[in-house]
Amino acid sequence: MIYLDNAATSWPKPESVYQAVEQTIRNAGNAGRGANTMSLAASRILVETRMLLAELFNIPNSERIVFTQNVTEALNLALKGTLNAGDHVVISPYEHNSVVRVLEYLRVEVGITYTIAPCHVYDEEDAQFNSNNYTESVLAAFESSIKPNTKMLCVTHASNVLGTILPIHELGRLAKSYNLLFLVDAAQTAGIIPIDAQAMEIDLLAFTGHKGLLGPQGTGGLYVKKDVLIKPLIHGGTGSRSAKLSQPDVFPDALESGTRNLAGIAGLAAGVRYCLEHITEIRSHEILLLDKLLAYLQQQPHISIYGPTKATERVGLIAFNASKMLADELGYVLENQYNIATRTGLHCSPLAHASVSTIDQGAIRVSVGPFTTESEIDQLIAALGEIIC
Amino acid sequence: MLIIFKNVHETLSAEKTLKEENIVHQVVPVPPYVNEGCGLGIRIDAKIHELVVSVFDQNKIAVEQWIEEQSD
Repeated sequence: MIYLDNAATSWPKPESVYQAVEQTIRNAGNAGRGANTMSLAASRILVETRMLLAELFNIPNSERIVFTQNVTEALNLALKGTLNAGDHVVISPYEHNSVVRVLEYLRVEVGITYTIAPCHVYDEEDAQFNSNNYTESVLAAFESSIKPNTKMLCVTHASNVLGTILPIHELGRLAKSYNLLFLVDAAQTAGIIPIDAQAMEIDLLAFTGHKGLLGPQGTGGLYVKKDVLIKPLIHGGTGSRSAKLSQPDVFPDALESGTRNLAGIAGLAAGVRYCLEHITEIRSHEILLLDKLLAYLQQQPHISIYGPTKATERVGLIAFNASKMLADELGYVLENQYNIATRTGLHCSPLAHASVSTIDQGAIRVSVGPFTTESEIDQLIAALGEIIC
Repeated sequence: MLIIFKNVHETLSAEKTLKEENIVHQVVPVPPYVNEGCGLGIRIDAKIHELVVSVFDQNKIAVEQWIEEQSD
């Protein structure tokens, strides 16, 4: 199998990830539940993993990182935990349904409002990415959407459809200048593109463990900057302040009730270690592969590519359509005749598809990972040549 | 001497620091009547109290309670 769906979940994982998961299931108890040796071993895994993540994201206090099942839960926690009736949020036009559906729910049930910043970075006629004054136009679109009751800017670090990397440093500064909360969805970037929570002025950083961080599914988390007020999504046992009937307010306990996915988190720690050791190579390898594929796709008159034209301006994915074959059919042929796995459809991001007018047809998305080889991209190119060119 | 922290994360962060500094210590269970925290504490020899205070200060480890024990 040539696996080109790393934007959905990375595969394969480093060998150390598989080993950590197995060792933990075999040896660890339940974290934070007593002082027996196995419980302490489990608790140490959580502490160590938080510290590794804090190092990767330059977070000054690792206890402010809470583990969730995935980035969707982290985003739910960040949005539902901080927004109240009357609050307004500005989002990018590339947000995933894990943001948009939460905001829609809050709009209807709680009474918040939100605005999609009108970032016109695609030419309307040919849907091609326009990189001229990109950062300035994104900033202007966000700033023009801020209202007196705006409480938060909520931005994906990179689009899971277009690959577009958002100017997080600049948006962070904009948020601070208006005293707004800054929530970043790092689903497609954590472990691949350096994230500095302090330099980027990030108040809330939502990440998943099973993509760029190379950990197992069922892992993710949210960093909550000190002094940001947030309510938990769930309440219950934390292994601390057990005599109290109310939820403790200390971190991470305040937001982490119930047993964590310890084996998954141990695997995540192994993945984060791998990222800390290899992040520069991971990104340069990704750019090398993207350059190769982009150069081929851009020469094909029957193919429309969405998102930035330069590899350095996107994360490791390319969505495109071929005029001779629908995306779903192309994906099916690639898998069944060439053993190449891709992802077709809307990728849970109708806003991003709408921005390039592919909401009806969807697109086929190819996404690479640290273990994708140049030879695999050559085989994809050869297959596309036979099928559609 | 028994040291109590606000939660498990802080207790085991302190443990990690003490290990890195090669300071003799034990992570021990603490009954609820001693402290309402996380059920864990770290026991050290009272003679190294000041050393541990300075190590925790340097590493920004927050202690909730220092409890002298009968053996101290």
